[in-house]
Amino acid sequence: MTDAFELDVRPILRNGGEPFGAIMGAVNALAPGQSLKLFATFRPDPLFTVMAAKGFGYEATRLDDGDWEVVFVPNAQSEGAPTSRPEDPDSWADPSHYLDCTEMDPPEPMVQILAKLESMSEGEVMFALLGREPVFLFPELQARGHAWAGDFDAEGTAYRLMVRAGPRS
Amino acid sequence: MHMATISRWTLAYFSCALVALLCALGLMAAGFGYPNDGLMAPRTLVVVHLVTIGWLSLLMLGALLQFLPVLIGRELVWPRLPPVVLTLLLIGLVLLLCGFLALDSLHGLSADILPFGGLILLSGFCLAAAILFTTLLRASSLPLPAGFVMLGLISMLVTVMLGETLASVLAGLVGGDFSLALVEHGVGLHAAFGLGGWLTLAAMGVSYRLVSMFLVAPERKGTLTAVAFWSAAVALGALVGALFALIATNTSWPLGLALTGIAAVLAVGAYLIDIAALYRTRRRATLELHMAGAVAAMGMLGLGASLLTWALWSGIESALAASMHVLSLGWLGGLGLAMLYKIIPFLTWLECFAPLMGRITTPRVQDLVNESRAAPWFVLYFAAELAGAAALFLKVQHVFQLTSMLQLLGAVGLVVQYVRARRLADLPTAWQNHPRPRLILPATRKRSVV
Repeated sequence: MTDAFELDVRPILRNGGEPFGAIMGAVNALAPGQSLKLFATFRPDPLFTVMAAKGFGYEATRLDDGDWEVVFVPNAQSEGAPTSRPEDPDSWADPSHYLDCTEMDPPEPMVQILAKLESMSEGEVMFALLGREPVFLFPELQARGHAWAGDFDAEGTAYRLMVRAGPRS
Repeated sequence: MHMATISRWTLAYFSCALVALLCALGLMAAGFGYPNDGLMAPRTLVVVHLVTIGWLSLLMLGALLQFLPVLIGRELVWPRLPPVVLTLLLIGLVLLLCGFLALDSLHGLSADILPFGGLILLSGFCLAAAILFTTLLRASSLPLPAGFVMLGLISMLVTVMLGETLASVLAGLVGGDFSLALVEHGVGLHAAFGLGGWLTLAAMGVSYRLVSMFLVAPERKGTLTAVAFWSAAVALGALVGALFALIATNTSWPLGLALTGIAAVLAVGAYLIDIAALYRTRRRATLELHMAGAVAAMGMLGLGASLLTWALWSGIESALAASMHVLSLGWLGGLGLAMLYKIIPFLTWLECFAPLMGRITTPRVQDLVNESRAAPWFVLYFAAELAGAAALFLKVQHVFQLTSMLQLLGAVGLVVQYVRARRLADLPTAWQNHPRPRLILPATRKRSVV
């Protein structure tokens, strides 16, 4: 098995930056079956949901200096993708686009999600994290022919939304 | 999936409500009602019901039709009924006001119109309650703000039934000891259920959600919210007890009323402290104009509640009138005007630009308004409210007419801003040629051709 890919986002976080893009870049560069070892200044809970959706389990350890080391291990995957049907979220492909909207002021999440969807082809799936249920987004998704599924995380603080892009209009 | 579409009739409710507000302020400026007339005089009752039913109840129902689904994440049931409710309420209100004028024996009308109008109002409010209750009951869980709305709706029904009984008594359809007791003690209960139970509790519930949404602050779920809710529930329970005591024994129940007062003060106090915390935890650093206006309105709630407590304690009639003015036009009316300054641009923005979002650059909601132009009208409205309340307390008729005129001017100024937002008049030049939406009835959204 290949060694875990190591990514230290602590410098980014200490400079007040947003490491989400760097993490997703690293994830996309992983070889099949490769793990990702991440160093962060806090326990990156929202990331666990994103990574779970990508098929990764995690093991989080608190380091002596208070920072966190998280190892994301890919779950064993069954091969042979089933056909993706809009009405059945279980049949959708793994998300290929990610948006963290938790720090955005409304209605920015709605604008960002709809803009991203414009660039996606039919059947592609986006995962978005939001600070609240985007009730005004749903009619627009419906009107544009996209399918979606979403729920709150266990703490009820973040809303997890998966959108499957519909046919290009 | 839970979704919130634009409620097609909400703007029609808002428009009728604003017309009623302008009429009421116009009548006050013309010297109609208290203090020229008595506190219970028919002409005063015309103004009071124009404000409470025409302005505040229509405003609240219009807002609930739009935001109750947002509050609980369920679609509104029976979407065809809201225009029926609006029609019933408008006809009922006009007949009720004519009934009061008939009591004033000025217009050769029969006072029987009064309970007849009340009956139509009753049917309208019952239908509204049916829509909103059924929607509420479909929620998987009821957050506390929705609980406030539920208490408010129950109070609304009690208010209207009590009002209809009073109308029957005033029209001479019901007589005997009960009618005397009702006129003596029932009017206060009617007002408490209406202004306190219905309008204030519903406003608290809706404001919890709107304030956290517009300020981007975490929702309040702590002890203070629970204290506010349960105190309000106790206050309402004691008030219902007082009502039953009145029906059963034809006398008032001072202990129940005292309990109502104490619990209501506790509820208002907890709510105000809780909302202050909500403002402090907001992520949006600068306070937009509508949220600053809401602060002024909540200040009016504190002032009005204190004034009311003192007025009931001291028994000074003009203090009671002033407190009612502050609570209805300062707190509820001020909050309504402030929220409309956000809700109307927001609904317009959704209607005009949601279909284009992600495809072209769209304006922000704030681009639909011009705050520096609207701010002076808010200042005028609230300043006139304070001056008007002082004039009422001191019973200086001419000053009160002047302040009412200024308050009317402030309200007209704000209505112009709402119309400008609807007309996309304040948008930056890049969108100046965007097609204007209809002023009152938004177009229904069709599913795009895929």
